[in-house]
Amino acid sequence: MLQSGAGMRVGQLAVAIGILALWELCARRGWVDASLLPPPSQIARHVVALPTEAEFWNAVGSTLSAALTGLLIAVLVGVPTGIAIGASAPVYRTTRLLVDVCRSFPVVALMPVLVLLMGTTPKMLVVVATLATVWPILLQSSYGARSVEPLVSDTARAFQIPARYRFTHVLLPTAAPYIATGIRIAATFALLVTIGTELLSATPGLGREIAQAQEGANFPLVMAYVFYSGVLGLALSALLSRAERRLLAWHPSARIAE
Amino acid sequence: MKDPQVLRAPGDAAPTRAAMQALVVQGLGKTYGEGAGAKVVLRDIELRVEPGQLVCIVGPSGAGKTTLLRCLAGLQPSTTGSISIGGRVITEPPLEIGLVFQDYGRSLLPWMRAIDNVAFPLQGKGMAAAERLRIAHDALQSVGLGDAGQRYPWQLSGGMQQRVAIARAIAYQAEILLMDEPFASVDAQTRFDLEDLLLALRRKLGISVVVVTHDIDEAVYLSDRVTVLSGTPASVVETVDVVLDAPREQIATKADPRFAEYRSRIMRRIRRPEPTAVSREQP
Amino acid sequence: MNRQTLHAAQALWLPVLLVALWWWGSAGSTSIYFPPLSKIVALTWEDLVRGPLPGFIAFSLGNLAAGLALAIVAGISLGTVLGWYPLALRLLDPVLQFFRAMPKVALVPLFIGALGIGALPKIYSIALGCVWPILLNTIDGVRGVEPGQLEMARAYRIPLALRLWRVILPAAAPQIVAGVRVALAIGVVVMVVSEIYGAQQGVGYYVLNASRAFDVAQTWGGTLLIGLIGYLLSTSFVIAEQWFLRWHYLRARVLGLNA
Repeated sequence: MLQSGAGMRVGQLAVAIGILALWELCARRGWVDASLLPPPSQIARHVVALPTEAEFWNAVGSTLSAALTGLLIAVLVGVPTGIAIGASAPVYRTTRLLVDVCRSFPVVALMPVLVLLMGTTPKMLVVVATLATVWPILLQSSYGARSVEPLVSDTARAFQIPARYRFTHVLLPTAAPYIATGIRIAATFALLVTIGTELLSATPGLGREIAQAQEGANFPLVMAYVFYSGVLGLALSALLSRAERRLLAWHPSARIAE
Repeated sequence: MKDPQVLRAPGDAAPTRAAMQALVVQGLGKTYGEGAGAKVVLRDIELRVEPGQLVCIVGPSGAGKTTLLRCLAGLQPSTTGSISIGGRVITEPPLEIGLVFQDYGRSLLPWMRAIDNVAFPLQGKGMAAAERLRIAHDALQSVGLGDAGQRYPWQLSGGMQQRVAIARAIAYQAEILLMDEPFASVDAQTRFDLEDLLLALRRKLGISVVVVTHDIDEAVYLSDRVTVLSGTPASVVETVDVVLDAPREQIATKADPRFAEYRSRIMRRIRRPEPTAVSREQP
Repeated sequence: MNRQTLHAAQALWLPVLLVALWWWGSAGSTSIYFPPLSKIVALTWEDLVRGPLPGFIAFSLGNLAAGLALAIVAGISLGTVLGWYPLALRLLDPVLQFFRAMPKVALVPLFIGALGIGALPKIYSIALGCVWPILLNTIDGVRGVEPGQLEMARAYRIPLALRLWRVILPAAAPQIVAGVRVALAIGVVVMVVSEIYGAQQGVGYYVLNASRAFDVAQTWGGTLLIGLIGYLLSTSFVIAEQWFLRWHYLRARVLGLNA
């Protein structure tokens, strides 16, 4: 019975409800610290109440706009740079160390410096989001550019296809799936970094709401905000996946039935 | 190819037990699915392998040979009928059987050296390290790979990898070797070498061997008896006792006129698989 | 100049040039926000040799190691079970997807609020952030084990414990290690976040403290130090990975595969 589609859905729902019920029990009985894991029933109250409040939507707006702006800039800078790096072996070797160092840099560590330089403003958030997301996008774009099969590019050159066309008809289509993956990964990362920075620097946004709720010892509210952060992340990821499938419908990997 | 060395003097423990039990298959059938969509793959298979015999199972591709072998190995349950070794019905992979897969690349573990691959089933039996490495080394020597033990499988050629797989089955102390198209994935020259290796091992160790193959020449060359599987669902259309001079030799045996007769007879039976009673005919 | 030196030169000239430019470009700087690089380096060195930094670094890295170790044990254990029993995996799938999408850094306040500003809440936060890539990659790795290898283990009656240790886990190892690599990067982020949010020790605390005191040079210094630590950790990991999975990389090279 569990094998069928509908049966599986029921099973999944049952498991999810079961976990919530267990959680509720542990929290009520005090087996778990309620300031760490407040009971789902209390969290649910806030989850339902939050979308009715203006400050919730303000916070969402701040976070989203900072994250998406940062992502956009990262795409505009990272994709061309990544492709340029990937397409040429000497350029790749030259920039490799630099990219490695920058990529493994925890951007969050830049927050104190940036707060000193720019204050707790949305602009600072955008800078953080850009710096954090430009590297995965750049890297993925470079992988995509490097993944062009030598045979394909040799064939194109043998047929004396001009460089411009080689770029748009060989390089870009080959690199496209990698770039799309990079953007999708970067998007959730942008959200994460933005919220984390707001949390630490008390810049307006979801992160700050979380910090304030925590300071007010309103733990169910904290969890409710965390919940919505997750929802936001999932929604963004799903949206991008769908856009990716549409735009890349011509690519063999998209035609493989799920 | 030279005969593999026997490295034990008579009286010492051999790398494996000589076969003492017969493998008997009675009324074996295998059906997938139920009701209207059921697919009958095997029907009423009768097979008997005496201790020390080499039996080949031949048939066209997709006939169900591999399914039969998997049932024999205890990897799949049969729907009807029984398989027994020495009178004991088997329901799960038995100790007496060593299996050699067609795709050696996927059955040898790439993170272990050749000798560790060969010793692995013995580790599963709980044998101590020193002992099992010694047996593994002996087994590798008997397939002619005595000094290749420290190499990884992917550092070896296809033929050598298959020999490692054979050594593994031997080290396991199996008295019955089951082989699923073991030489299909190697080149022709290597195939001849491996066929002769198999015959030499059988002679020296006294094991029983069951080989599934689509190559009729190979079947006639190797076997004491050939079981022809054909038709849909697959059933035994004929069993042919192969009487040729021993020891078999690639050139002399294949030049023997009886070889060609066996071959044509089997080929004819495969193409016209009218079910007959199991028969023992001479050419 | 032979090929190897050429490649080495190509790899180094740009970073060296940039650092040199920064050094000399900022040498006489009087700007509060961009002090001379020489001053930043001097200050940080001072704190390393005489100041609190070695202890802080030990604290941070210790927490990271503990959190990562916890995540590895939990992630591999649970991941193996879920990878082995596809039904359990499918049933838990929505729950897993949701927790995975949740920004774990957002939970740091909860942990620290509930458990204080000591080492333990940081370790738990790091573990919680690190466990997801390890868990998911372990599941993928276990599910991707070659059926031929599993069948061989069954045909030779290999007992379950041995099968797990010498067939399933080694087969899944490349995937699992890739997960740990991602987890390491996440761990560093959570480590810094937890120390900035609430701590009395650690490199994150060092940077925060400097910024609160408006000591810009020290803030830069701490930030650069964290960056250096992050880079060294991830490079060391890659080197360790090359050794640990040497059979995998050697094999890929021999077979001409994409590792």
